[in-house]
Amino acid sequence: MIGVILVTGGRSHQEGYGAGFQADARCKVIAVTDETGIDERRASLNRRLAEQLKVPYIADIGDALRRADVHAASICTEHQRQGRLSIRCAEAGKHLYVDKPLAGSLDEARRLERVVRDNKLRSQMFTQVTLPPARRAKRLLASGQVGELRAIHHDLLFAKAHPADLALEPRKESAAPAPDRFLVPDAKREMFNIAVYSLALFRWISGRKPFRSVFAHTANYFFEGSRARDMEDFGAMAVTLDGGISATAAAGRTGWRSHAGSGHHRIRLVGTRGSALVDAFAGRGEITAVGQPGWRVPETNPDDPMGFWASTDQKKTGSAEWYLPPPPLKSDQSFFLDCIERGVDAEVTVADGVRVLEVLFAAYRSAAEGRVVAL
Amino acid sequence: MKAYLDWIGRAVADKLNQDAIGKPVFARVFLRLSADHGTLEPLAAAAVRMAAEWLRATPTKVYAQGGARDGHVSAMVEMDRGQTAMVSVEALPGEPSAMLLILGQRGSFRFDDYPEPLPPSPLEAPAREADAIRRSLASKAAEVPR
Repeated sequence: MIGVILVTGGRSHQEGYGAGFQADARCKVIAVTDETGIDERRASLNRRLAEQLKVPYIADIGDALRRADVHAASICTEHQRQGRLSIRCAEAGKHLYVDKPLAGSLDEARRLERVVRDNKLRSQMFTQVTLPPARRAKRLLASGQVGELRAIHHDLLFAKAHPADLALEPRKESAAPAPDRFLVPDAKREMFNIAVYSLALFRWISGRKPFRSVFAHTANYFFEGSRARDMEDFGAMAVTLDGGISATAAAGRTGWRSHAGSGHHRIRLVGTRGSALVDAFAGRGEITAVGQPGWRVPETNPDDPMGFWASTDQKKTGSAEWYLPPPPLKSDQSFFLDCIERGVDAEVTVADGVRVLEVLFAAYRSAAEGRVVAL
Repeated sequence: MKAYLDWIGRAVADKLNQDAIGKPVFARVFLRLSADHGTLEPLAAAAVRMAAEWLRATPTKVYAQGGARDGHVSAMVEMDRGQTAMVSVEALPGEPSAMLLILGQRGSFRFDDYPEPLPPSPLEAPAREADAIRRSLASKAAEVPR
């Protein structure tokens, strides 16, 4: 039995990760835990997740890490704490399941990579490569249908939150985003949080080809809160990988009405023999009928106005039904448990996460300076 | 090909002018209309011009990747009021296709089309966009249209 601690709790993706670990019979969630000195809101959200999962809450992570029945840690904190806490867990010899992006600073991420390597730990960063669209894209490529990969394009746009008719103007980007300014309750750095999936996909599907350059652009198109807090709600980037492979990504939060499901999500593969499009929502059923009032979006939830977290349960409803694809056969957490069990590396490790983070920070520099940045 | 581009440009602009999705802010364009590598750059330039018209904007910076040898040209374009376009043109065998996604501030517009094979026809590339794409491919840098 693999014992896992959950580092931080509610109003984070730990809500899903914790449930994923609990659903796997090979694993026991030992506790929710955190470092001491956190604020009361965070402590209360941590306790709430522990109650929901019916596990203890250990207020001092040091106590949790000393337990012999803890083999792995799932770390999903605010970005500015993520690197520090991941290093602490790795130094204690625990295998790591880490939220994306790895950390709020490259120095911490690189230090984490060293500790994981030196302690011979298994690690996995949460991404979307274990979800059906990515698996399908990789199968298509492996089949030889499109030939040798020359370009890959990825649109990942989350259809959540209520947009406004903002005046359009170019965004002034900062070359180095402050580590404590990636996420607040009503805004996120969306390129940081969403393009990370695209970059991880590019690295994974290309067989870990190194990134060579990035050109990026950030924008505030949709949300007043994001603009007021100087956090982009949209980012676009064009990267090159070794071997002359081109890749582009469009990432953002685009408003409830921009898609009837969870958002546009498409992967375009361009090869020497052909091209192919994988649309995450190609498999669907729709009902159109007399008397349909049209689909509805949720009212603004003041506790989670941007629809970040699953626990606030903000769903679209209405008679234009949108049947979502079935959930994957296996959760991302189960993929991680496989790696521990078999003693093999994950498909996206901490080291991969560091390479992705390098591109993300270079992308902000590119957007700030308006030029292509070499990696 | 010119007639098809004229049609798609007009049809999409008409739809966007009905204001169903609010102010358009982002356009993603995938075009696979000919296997002739010679059409890649002019077609990419035409697509950049078309996307700028849909976004009601003027390109201020173009970063192009690929080239005839790769069988595709991709261009990421920044516009004067901060809008973005990403254009990808492929010279590959197979059925022609045009896939568009345009995001507006109040919704999105998606258009997937599978036209009949288009007869070859001379394509006059818009000069500013064609020049910026050519310079970007040569310099591997983002270029300002002039």
